Amino acid sequence: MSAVLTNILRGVNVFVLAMLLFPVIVVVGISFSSASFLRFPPPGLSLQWYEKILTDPSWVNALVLTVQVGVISVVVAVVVSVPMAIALVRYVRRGRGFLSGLLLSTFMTPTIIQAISIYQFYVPLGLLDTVYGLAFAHAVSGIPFVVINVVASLGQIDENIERAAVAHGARPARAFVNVTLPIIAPSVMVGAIFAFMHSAHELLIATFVLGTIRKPISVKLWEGVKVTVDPTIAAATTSVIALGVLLLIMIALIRRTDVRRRAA
Amino acid sequence: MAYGIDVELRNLTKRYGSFAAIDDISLRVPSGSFATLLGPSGSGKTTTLNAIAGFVTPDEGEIRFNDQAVSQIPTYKRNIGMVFQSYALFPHLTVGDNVAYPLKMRDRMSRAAVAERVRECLAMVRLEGYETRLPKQLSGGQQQRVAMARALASRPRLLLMDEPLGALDRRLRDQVQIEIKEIQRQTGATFIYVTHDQTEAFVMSDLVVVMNDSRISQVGTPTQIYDEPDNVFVANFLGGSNLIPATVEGVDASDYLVALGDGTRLAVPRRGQSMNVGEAAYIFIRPEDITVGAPTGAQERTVDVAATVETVDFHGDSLRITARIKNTSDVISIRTGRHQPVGGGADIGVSWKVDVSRLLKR
Ligand SMILES: Nc1ncnc2c1ncn2[C@@H]1O[C@H](COP(=O)(O)OP(=O)(O)OP(=O)(O)O)[C@@H](O)[C@H]1O
Ligand SMILES: [Mg+2]
Repeated sequence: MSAVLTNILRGVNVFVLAMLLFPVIVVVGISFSSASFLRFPPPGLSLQWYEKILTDPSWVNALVLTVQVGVISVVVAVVVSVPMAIALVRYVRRGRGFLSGLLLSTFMTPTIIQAISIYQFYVPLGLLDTVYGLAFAHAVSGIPFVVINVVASLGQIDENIERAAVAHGARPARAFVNVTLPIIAPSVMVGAIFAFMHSAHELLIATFVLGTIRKPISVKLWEGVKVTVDPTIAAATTSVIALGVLLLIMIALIRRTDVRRRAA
Repeated sequence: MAYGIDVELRNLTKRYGSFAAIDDISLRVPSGSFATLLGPSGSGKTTTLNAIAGFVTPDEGEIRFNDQAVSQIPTYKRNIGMVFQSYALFPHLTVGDNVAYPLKMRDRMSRAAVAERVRECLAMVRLEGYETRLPKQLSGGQQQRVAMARALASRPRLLLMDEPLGALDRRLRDQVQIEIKEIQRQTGATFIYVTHDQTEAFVMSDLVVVMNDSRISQVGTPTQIYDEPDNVFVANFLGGSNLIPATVEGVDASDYLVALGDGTRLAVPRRGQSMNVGEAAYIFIRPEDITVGAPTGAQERTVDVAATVETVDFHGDSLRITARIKNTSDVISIRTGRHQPVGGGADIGVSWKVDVSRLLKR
């Protein structure tokens, strides 16, 4: 490729990255502000807003709730998704494309539509205003993240590896647990992390299903934006971003060790 | 009773859609013998092994171990050892744990006994001390040998090996071949072995099974397969061969009388496929069975043909001469000692003993 073209591409890259990161930089900057209003760049630095969050039970509760919902939804999503991915890769002959499309359609459906339909669906089930209700709802939208990752990883495994276990005396179920599961485990983890982040960020379903009673971080942030205009929300947002970055680093580490293990 | 399992395939067919990956295969591998499936890519070798292992369910026919049909016996109870074409090592387990896997699944052995057996098996494939490595830390050839050690670990009575030495260099391959053959003699297990390499097949096998286009082309001992091919495919697939077009003109008690393109008449022994007068055929002769020199004339049961030398190629230990039979377009190739004094364009006489030639259907 010519040097000119390379430089143009590099310029475009930097520009796009700046566009993407700018809001994050502003929010993070404001969260460390010493002023009590939203202003960028901040006039001075302090940790007062973090202190405020950590000493305010409503923020702490929101954080705990978010983790609770996230963990339950991820567990449910994983338990459903792994067998689903296996079925898709190994047993579905006809209509695999259709089923995969159906799965991905949750990404295409506007969340507000999902929120409204889940709301109506939950009323008669008594799941409205419950932590489990929200967790299940998030599990449903978290499933595609896990399935996609596991399907990709299963597709790469040499089918003879599991056969080798069976040939040498393992029952098929045992071979799966001994061999296939450890091999796909990193992909399950990565999918689970995506699903967790999805749950932590998700606002609309959370508002409809649980938001009037208890507020996870996303809902609390949204309400914060509506009523107060001090850097507390910036600090809370930064915390959520930090969590995401942490999980992304984890993903990178998992991928690295996984790739290293595969490379042979 | 012998240790190995007697394996029999009866009219085995496996179809994928309308395509038969193996088509009406019948074969018997006696207990304790070493059989090799030899054939070009896509001829159905792996499918045959997978059917014997139980990974592929045949559409027709049956598989019998020691005269018992095995269709109801799941793979994990068939007591086999298997080396896969793609090695198929467990990537997350160490070499030691890979080799120990069959022992843990099948045998109730103490930890110490398992470790001892693992050491033994690794020594057999010359990988002593590699126990704690992961497969990805090994070369392709080393991984293949680990796969071999794993297959042998629980001393199965039937070993299925799919091109287990494909990634090894010549010298190591020769060593491990001898090693495998020795293991087979010691254990008395039955081996069914897949290879592309005819020398390997000849060196190791009691029985060579030549496969082509999803079918068995010929089954026999290495010398039978090499000296007495049943058909043109087998003749061509194994080593260099001459197939000289001819027409059957007559039959007597021991020979066919055939005519070459130029009308030269000669005799070919009546063996193998039976042919009718007037039928088009090939005379099959190995290049090393043809001699160059003055006509032998009077000698009993020898054929003399006049030819013109086209090319002479030096092959190190021998010369390969191609020569055109006079008044025809048929070219024969000859392998001679390296001191044969001939050059391109020379007129030579070539001869062979009637009994080393064969007639094959064209
Ligand atoms: N699962 C399958 N679905 C469809 N076709 C298959 C399947 N398995 C094998 N075949 C076809 O059956 C034929 C025989 O395959 P097989 O793997 O037995 O060949 P092979 O003799 O082992 O070849 P190679 O030497 O390349 O390993 C091939 O044409 C292959 O494409
Ligand atoms: Mg094969």
